[in-house]
Amino acid sequence: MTGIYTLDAVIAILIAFMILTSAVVMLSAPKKQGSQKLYAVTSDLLAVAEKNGGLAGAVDGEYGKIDLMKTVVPAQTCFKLTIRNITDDIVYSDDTGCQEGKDTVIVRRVLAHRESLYTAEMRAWLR
Amino acid sequence: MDNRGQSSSLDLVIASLLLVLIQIAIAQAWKMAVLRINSYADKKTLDNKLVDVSELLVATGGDPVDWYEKPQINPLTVNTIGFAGEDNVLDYARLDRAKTIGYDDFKEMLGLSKEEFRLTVRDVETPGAGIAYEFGGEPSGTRASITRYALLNGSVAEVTLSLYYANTTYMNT
Repeated sequence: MTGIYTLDAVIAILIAFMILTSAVVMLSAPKKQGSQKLYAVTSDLLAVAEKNGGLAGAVDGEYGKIDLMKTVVPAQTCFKLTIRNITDDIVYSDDTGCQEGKDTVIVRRVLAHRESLYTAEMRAWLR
Repeated sequence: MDNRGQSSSLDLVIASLLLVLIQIAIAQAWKMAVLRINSYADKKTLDNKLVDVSELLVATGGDPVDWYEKPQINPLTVNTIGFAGEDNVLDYARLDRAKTIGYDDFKEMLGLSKEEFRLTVRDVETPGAGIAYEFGGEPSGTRASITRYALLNGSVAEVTLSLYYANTTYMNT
């Protein structure tokens, strides 16, 4: 039998299709684990900063507790913390001093302090 | 001389040897590929569980929330263990009580089955405080870890959870 529609060709095309499909599926799979972990850790840091008075201290100009957060995170984790008041003015901003990466997670928390509301936003990424 | 149906036996031997060598190489490559795939799949499973289990520990008080006051703590009386009196604030009473739980019961109440675990709670704010609590075995083989943060007695504490499969011989990837 001549021609390209032989059994070998059909099998080869099927295998090639399966390999290509697998490759596309694997390459397009979202890499969630890393960002899930980072999100969880960032949420922790913001929650701890609120509960130990670090965020309120930062609003009042006392930076001891909020500066502590920079020392406890692993060296490969970078973050930027910004606190805004109700009119969206920045009342505090600090970061770990590294260039923001592309896979940044953002966590926000509302803070009530001295009868005013503030929004704390923490952006975190891996070095 | 009769030339019908003759083949060189040397060619046959070389061809057979080459074929065997190629088959051995393919078998080895396949074995390595399977090990890598298994290792990757295990790591992915562990990573997925890490966030869920660590969330239970640092952000919930457990189910029921008064589990640490029960006279008997086992998977029949307690569904899940949590250390938090409130979000990200650890409770000494829960941590102290957890030290009395057997490893297998502890594991089951964390929702783990094949996975082994190690858990440490360390005060990172107080100089020289070191590890306050540790539970579980020594990680080996394929493992995944996460470090969460919470307050313990007003100080910042690291809660590090490692999950691993015991006695695995997977390749490091």
